[in-house]
Amino acid sequence: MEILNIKVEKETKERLERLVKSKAYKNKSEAVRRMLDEHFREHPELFASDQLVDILTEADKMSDIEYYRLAAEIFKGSRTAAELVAEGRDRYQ
Amino acid sequence: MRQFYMDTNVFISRIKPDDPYHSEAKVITKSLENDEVHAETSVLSLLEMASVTSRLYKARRIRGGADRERMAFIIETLKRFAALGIRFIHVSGDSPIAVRNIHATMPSIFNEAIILSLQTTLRTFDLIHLAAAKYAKQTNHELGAFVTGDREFLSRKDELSKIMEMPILSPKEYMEGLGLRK
Repeated sequence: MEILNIKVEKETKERLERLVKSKAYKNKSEAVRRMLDEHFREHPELFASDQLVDILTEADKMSDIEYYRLAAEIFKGSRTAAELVAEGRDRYQ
Repeated sequence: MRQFYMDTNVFISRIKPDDPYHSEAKVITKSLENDEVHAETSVLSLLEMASVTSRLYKARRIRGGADRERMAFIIETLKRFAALGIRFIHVSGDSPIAVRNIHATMPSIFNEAIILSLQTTLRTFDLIHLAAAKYAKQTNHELGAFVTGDREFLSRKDELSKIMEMPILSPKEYMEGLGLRK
C-alpha cells in the first residue's frame, strides 16, 4: 500500500475519529481508504475520459473483416434495417 | 441526382448482409467512398445509428454483452458512417414560435417539424428527418433524391416528394436511376 498525507478540516478529522471509536472502521486510514474506494465505484464517470481513450483504441484495432463479421451477427434477423430504425422512431412496435 | 439525402437505414442495410437492400446499399456506399456520389443526412442519423447498434448488441448478448466491447463497436460504426464523407445537417439556432397564447423558443428544426406536422401525419423523428431534408434541399439545390428503405416513406412518396421537392427513392431505384451496377 502507498502512503498518502492529506490535510482535512478539524471537523472531518473529529468525525473520522468518532467512526473509529464507534468501531465502524479499524482506524482512520481504513475509513478514508474505504470511503474513497466506494466513491470511485459509485462514480465511474470521474474516469470516463480514461475509459473513452481505451475504448477508442479498442475500436481502432478492429479490422474490416472483424467489423463486418460482428455487424452481420448483431444485425441479423427477420427485421429489415428500415424496420430496426423505424422501431426507434416509435413505429413497428 | 448524384447528391442525395441518405436515410439512416441505408447504412444499416450495408452492414446487414441479410437485408433486402444490402447489395444496393453496398454499391451506394462504395460510390460514396469513391466520391462518385455525395450524401447528406440529419445529425439525427448519428443518434439513430448509435441507438440501434447499442440496443441490438445488448439484445444479442454478443461477447456476453460487455459494455466496453459494445461501446467500441458503436464508436467504430459511427466512425465508418462518418468516413463515407456524408455532410451532417444541423439546423443551428433557435426560433421563436408565437401563435395566440403559445410563446416558446425552440430549436429551429423543431419549429420546421411542427410546420410540417400541419402538412403530413408522420411521427416525431420522421418529421425531424423530413425537416432536415427540406432544409438540405433549400441550401443545396443539387440534392436530387431522398433515399430510404422505409416502407412508410416509400408508400407515401407522392405526398412526401411534394413537401421535400425531391423524389423519394428506394436504394434499388436510386442505384438503377444512376446506372450504378452491383
